[in-house]
Amino acid sequence: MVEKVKKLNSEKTKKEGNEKSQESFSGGFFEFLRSMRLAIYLFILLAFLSIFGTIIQQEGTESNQKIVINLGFATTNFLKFFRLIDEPRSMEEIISRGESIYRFLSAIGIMNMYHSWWFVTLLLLLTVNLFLCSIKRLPAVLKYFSEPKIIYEEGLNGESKLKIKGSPEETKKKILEIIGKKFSRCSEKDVDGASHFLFEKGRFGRLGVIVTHFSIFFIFIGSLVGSIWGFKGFLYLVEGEQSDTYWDKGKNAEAPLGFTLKCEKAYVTYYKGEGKRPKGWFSDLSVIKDNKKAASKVIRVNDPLSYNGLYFYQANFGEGGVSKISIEVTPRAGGEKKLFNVGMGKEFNPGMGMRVKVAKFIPDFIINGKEIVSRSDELNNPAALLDIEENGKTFSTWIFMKYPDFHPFKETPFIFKLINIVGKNKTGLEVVYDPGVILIWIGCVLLVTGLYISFFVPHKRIWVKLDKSFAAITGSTSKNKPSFELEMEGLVSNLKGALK
Amino acid sequence: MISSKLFGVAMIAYFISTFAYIFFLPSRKKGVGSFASIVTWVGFLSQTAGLILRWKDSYAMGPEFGRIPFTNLFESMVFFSWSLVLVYLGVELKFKYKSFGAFVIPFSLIALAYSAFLSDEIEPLVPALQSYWLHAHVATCFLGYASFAAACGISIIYLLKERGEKRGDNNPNGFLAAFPGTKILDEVNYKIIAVGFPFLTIGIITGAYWANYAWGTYWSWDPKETWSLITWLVYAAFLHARLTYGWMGKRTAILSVAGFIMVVFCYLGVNLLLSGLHSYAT
Repeated sequence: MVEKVKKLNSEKTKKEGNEKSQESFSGGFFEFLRSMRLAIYLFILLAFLSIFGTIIQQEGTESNQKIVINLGFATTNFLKFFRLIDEPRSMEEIISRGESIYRFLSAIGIMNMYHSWWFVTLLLLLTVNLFLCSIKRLPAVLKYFSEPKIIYEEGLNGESKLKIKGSPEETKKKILEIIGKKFSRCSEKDVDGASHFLFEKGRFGRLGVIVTHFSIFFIFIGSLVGSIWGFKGFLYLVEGEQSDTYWDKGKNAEAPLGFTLKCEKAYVTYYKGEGKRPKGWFSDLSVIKDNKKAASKVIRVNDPLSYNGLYFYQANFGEGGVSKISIEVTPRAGGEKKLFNVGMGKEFNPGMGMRVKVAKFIPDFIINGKEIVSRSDELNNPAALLDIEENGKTFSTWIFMKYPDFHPFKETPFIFKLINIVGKNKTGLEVVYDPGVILIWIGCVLLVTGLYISFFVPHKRIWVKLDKSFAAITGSTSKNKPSFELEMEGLVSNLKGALK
Repeated sequence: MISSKLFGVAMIAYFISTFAYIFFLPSRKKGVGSFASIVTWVGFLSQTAGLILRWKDSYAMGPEFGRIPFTNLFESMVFFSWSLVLVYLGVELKFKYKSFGAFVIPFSLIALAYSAFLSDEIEPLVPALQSYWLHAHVATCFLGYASFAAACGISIIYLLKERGEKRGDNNPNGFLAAFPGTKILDEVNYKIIAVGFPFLTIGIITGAYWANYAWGTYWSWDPKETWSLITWLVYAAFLHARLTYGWMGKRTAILSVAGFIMVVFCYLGVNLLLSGLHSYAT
C-alpha cells in the first residue's frame, strides 16, 4: 500500500505566513526596520541612486576645474537640445553655467555622492536591516539544531504508508540501514508505543542565509574601520631621492610616514616591436629606518611594497629632470675624441688646464624676447650651458644636441658636442594604510561560502513512524523539491522492496 | 589568423542553429531539435578551438606577448558568446528542453556577429592587466553575465507563454506549446540565476581583491564597479523576492529581464558611454 509521493511540504509558504502576520500585527517602526520589505526597497533605491554617480562625473576623478567645464558643456548641450537657450556666445558663459550647476550638485551631495551623508545613511540602514533581520531569524534557525522535530507529523503532503510483515525490530533495522545509507544523522524517540525517527542531511544549509547576511555586515564594518583608522595619500619620488613624509589626501597636507622611503631607481620597459607600448613601470624602493635599510623591493603595477601595514603602489610615472649629460670633446688641432658623462654643476677637465662646468640644462630651448626659457618639459631642443675657465679667463657657451655645429665660440681649443641626456625618472606612489581590509576579505569569503550553502545545500529531512503494523514515511526539503521528490520515491520503493 | 576563421565557423553554426531552434518550435520534430543541438555543439567546439588557438597565437608572437584571450572588446565579445553557449548547453543537458535555444542562442549570435566588426589584432597586455587575477575575474564575471542572459531568454519565453495562456491560446500545435509549463520555466529561471549570482559575486570580489592589489583600493565607485553593484542589487532583490517573499512567475520574470538590461549596460554601456578604470576594455 503505497501512496504515490506527489508533493512534498513547502516550508517556504509557512515561513512567509509567519512573517506577514507578525508585520501586520505589531506594525511599528522597529518591525519595518527589520522587515524583508525594507531590504527590497533599499536594494532598488540604492541601485537607482547609484546610477547618478556614474553619469555625473565625481569629484576626485579629475581636477575640479575640468569637471566644472565638463558640467558646463553638458548642461549647455542639454538646454540647447530642448531649445531653452541659444547658442552660447562665450566660454565664460559655459563655465559660469557649469559653476552654478556644480554648486547646486555639491550642495545636495551629488558631486561626491557615494560618500554623501544620505547615501552612507542608506548603506547603514541596509546593514542595520540586515543585522536585525538575521537576529530575528536566528532563533528559528537554531531550533533546527537545538531541538530538531522528531515526532512524526500526520497528514503532510507526500506521505507513504507501508504495511510491515516482519517484527518491529527487524523493520527498524532495515529502515535504519536503507535510509541511513544516504542520511547520516538519525534521531529517535518513542511515543505512545510508536517509534519516531528523524533522518537529516545538510542541516548546516539552514545557516547559509545567516552567514551571507553577516558577511555583508563584516564588509560594511571593514569599510568603516578603513575610513576611520586608515588613510590614503600620494608620494612622488625622483630617482635617488627620499622622503619621510607623504601627501595625505584626507588631511590635504603632508604627513609623516614614520620611516624614510627612498627611490633607488625608477624605470619603464617596453614591448618589442613597433610603437612604444609600455610593458611595465618599476620602482626600486628601499625603506630606511634608524639609518638602516629595513626593507626593499622593486615594485610594479600589480605588485606593491608593504611595510609596517603601509602599502606603496606604483600609480604614476614621469620625468623628473636630468641626472647626467654626455659631452663629446674633440681637440681642434686633431686628436682623439673624449666622452665625459657629467652631472649637473659638476666640473670636468678636458685637458690643457681647462675646467668646464655644466651650469644649466634646458630640455626645450627657446629665446623668448631676451630671456632663455624652456618651451616644455619634453626633450624637443635640449641645450646645455657650459661655464669654461681657461687660463683664468672665463666665459659661457650654449651647446645644442640637435644643432651640434651651432657653436659660436671658436676661440677654445676644443669642440664640445652635447651627445646624450640621461634623464631621471619620477615615480608616483599611492600610499595606503587600511586596517579594515582584512575584515573585507573575511566578509567576502563568508559571502561566497554563505551563498554556496544557501543555494546548493538543501536541508533534507525524512520522518518515519513505526508502529506494530505500519511504517509511515514522509519528508521535506528546504530547496530543490523536484529532485528530492525523486529521491524520496526511490527510497520508498527500496523500503517497500525490503519490507516485503 | 586561423582562430578568427574558427570564430567565423562558429558564427555560421550559431546562425544555422538559431533558425533550426526556431523551426523546431512549431514543428517539434525530434530530428530538427537534434540537428540544432549538433550544430550548436559544432559551433561551440570550433569557438573553443579558436579561443585556445588565439591564446597560443599570443605566445607565438613572443613569450612576453602571451596572455589569455579576454583583454579587449573583440575578445570579450567572443568570450561572452562562448560562455553563453556553454551555459545554454549545460541547461539543455540538464533540463532536456531544446525549445529554449530559440531564445538564447540568438544572444550568442549577436555577440559574435558584433565582434566581427571589431579589430581582432592581438595586442600585448597593458601593465594594469598583467596579473593572474585577470583570469579569475573575467571568467567568473562572464559566467555570471552568461547565466543572466540565459535566464533572460527563459524569462521572455515565460512572459510569452503566460500571455498566451491568459488569452486562452492553448493550441497544442502553436509554437508556445513547444515550451514547458510556466512553473518549470519559472523554476529554470530561478535555478540559472542561483548559479549566476554567486559567479557575479565572485567576479566582483576577485575584481575588488585585484583592485586592492594593483591600486590600493578595493572599491573606488568607478562606473564599472558601480554598475556591477547595481546589477548585483537587482538580482539580490530578485532572490529575496522569490525566496522569502514568495514572488513567482510574471514579477520575477520581469525582474530577471530588468536584471539582464543592467548586465548589458554594465558590460557594454559603461565601456562605450562612460569613462573610468575599465576603459581599456573598449
